[in-house]
Amino acid sequence: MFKKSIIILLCLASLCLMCACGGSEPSSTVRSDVPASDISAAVEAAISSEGLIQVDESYILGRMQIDTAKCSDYVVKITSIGTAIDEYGIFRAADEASAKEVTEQVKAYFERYLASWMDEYRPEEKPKLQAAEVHTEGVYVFYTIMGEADADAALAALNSLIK
Amino acid sequence: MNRKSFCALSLRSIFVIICVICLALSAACSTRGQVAPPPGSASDETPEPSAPAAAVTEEPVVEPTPELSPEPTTELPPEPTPARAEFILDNIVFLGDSTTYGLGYYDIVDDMQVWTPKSGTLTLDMWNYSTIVYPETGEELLLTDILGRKQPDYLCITLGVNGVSFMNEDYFKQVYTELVKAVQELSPDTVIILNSIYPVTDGYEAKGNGINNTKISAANGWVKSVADTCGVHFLNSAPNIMNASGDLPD
Repeated sequence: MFKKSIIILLCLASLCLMCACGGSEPSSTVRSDVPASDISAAVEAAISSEGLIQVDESYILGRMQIDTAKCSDYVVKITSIGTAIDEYGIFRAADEASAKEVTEQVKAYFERYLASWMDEYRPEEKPKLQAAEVHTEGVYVFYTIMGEADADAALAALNSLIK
Repeated sequence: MNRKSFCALSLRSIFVIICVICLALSAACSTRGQVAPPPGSASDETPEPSAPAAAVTEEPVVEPTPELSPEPTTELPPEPTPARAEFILDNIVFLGDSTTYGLGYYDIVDDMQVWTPKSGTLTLDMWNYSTIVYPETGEELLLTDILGRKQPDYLCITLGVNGVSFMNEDYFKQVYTELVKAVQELSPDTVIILNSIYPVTDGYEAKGNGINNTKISAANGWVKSVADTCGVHFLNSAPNIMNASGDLPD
């Protein structure tokens, strides 16, 4: 009986270990040397959003309130087409701790954007904002405000380069 | 999009605004001579008979009279007349948000004089990122590209209401200054007028999207500051359409 219990306990422990191994990959497997501009190019090749324009630092600091000093490089693009709100951003933070801070700043940006949304304009675009996503992979922080299919394609493009 | 809902202003309010803009410009011409007619214009060659600014229109005159800040340059003062005011109005291009879009939508001014995005609105810090419908061709172009094609005699800018909910003073002034300087660089002969942001109704404030008359009033001070810094006009038209509570009447 005692032997049987030991075997069962060992089996359970093994099972737990296996499950733990099946979780998210450790961030050390994520590259950190891919320039944001390369990722941006891959993302744009994968999505259907049109008229994307790169914004300058004052926009990122002023409107988005993201601390660019925590990033080694970044690209944020928004659509110039007034009837759409598509945008995405890729930030390569200095380290993983900085990436977490930038991630929180992006989330705060989403909240402010939604709070100031005016329903009388472009109501059909609001779901994109409500479904906005931010992903953190190693030192990279990546966000999208776009349709679901484009957001999925953009994320796949990111992962293809950094994993 | 509900096209009727794009503008918080009533048709009458917009009409009154246009009247006060014309009055202000006309009055400014008579007292300071700062709004120079385009070269070769009829009003350059044939002085119109003199008339008090208050008599240039039969529309209801609203109080107080809008104040147009002086322009740094001085020229011969043309006389304020209805014809003069009409001439100026016909040569103003209006750049702005939904309140400007309404000028064309309600046929207050010719569509050719309205520069707004296709969406019907424009946020201040998007001026260099959001395309504007170039009325001459219907193309959607960035403002800088449009100014490369056309340099208006007068450009009346009404922007900022969509930004007051999230822009602080420094960011607001920085972006607005960049806009004015870009216009000055690309269209140096254009007379630039920074119009004040119009108030919103009490009901609009209740929407809770961060746009309210307290913020608008503060932002109008920022607009004036930008005008002073850049040496362009500030047109304080907002007081002319607000009620005693400082709201736009319903």
